[in-house]
Amino acid sequence: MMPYTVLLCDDALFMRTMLRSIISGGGYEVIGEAGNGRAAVELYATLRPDFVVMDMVMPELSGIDAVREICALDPSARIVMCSAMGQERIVSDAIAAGARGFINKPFTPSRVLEALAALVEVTA
Amino acid sequence: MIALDEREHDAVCELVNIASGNAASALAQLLGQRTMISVPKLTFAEIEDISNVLGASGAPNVVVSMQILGDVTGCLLLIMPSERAHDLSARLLRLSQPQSGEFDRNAQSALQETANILGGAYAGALGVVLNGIVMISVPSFGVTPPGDLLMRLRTASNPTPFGLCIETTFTIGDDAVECGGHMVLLPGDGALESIVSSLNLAA
Repeated sequence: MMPYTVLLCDDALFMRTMLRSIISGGGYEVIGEAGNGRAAVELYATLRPDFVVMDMVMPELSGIDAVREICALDPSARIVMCSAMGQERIVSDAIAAGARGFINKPFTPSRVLEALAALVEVTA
Repeated sequence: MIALDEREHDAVCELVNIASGNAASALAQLLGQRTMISVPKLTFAEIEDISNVLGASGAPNVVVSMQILGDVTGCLLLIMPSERAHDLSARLLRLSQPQSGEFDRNAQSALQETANILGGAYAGALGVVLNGIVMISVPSFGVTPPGDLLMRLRTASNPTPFGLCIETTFTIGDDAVECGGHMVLLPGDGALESIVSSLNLAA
C-alpha cells in the first residue's frame, strides 16, 4: 500500500525539519515543503497531497488564508493546523476556515502522528 | 501615560508568572529536557530606563522581534546574549557543541521558532485576560545592541513611553545549564489601558 503523502507548510526551517523527521518516521511520505502560505497553495495545486500540515503565522499569506484558498480549490482537502497560537477562538477560526484538526506548538511526536491518524479516519 | 497602582502591579506580575510558566513548559517540550524557571523579574518603566537595564551601549545581543496583533497591539522582543543563544540553539538542533560567531540559517530558524513559541505563551495569557484574540507576527531575527534597538522602536513606532521588561532564567537539563534573557513588551496605543482594565475586571 502506498503511504499517505503530506505537504508541510511552515516558515521556520527548524520546524519543517522537525516535522519531516516525525512524519516520515510515522510512515508517511513528505512530498513537499512550503515556507509561506502562498507557496503552500501553489504546491497543493501541483502536488495534491493527501494531507497538509499548516503553520498559522507565515509571511506572504497566513496559514488560515491558505487553508481557505486550498479548500476553495479542493473542498475535500485534509489540513491540520500547527501553531503556537492555540487560543480557543483562533482554533475555532482555523476549523471554520476548513482545517480538520489543530496541533499546538510545541508538540510531541505522538501528538503529530495522532493528528495525522485522525485525518486518515476522515479519508476512510 | 499610565501608572500602575500596587494591586494592578500585582495583577500584571501574576499574568507574567502564568505566561512564563507556560513558556517554560513549552521550552521544555521543545528541548525534550527538564526545564525550570526562575521567578521572573519584572520592570515596568519608561523605555529609556529599560534601555539602560539592557545596556544601551553594550555588546550586540540576539534580538527576535514580533508584532502583537489582534485585540491589543504592540511589539514583543526576545533578547538573549549571543553566547546563551548559541548554547540554546545547539541544544535545539541537538548539536554536540555550541557554535560561535555568526548564527547560521539553522540556528536562526531554531531561535526564531523558540521566540514564536515563547511569544505564543505570552500572547495566549494576554488573550485569556482580555477574553479576546492576541496573535504574534512572523519573528524577525537580528543581532544588535538591544538598548539601541529599543530606542529606535520608541522613536519609530511606539506611541507609549512605557514598556514591560521581563527577565527570566531557564535552567535546562540534568546539567542545570542556565539559559536566560529578557522578554520586552512595548504596548501599542491603548494596549496597556486595555490590559489593566481587564485585570481590574478579573480581580
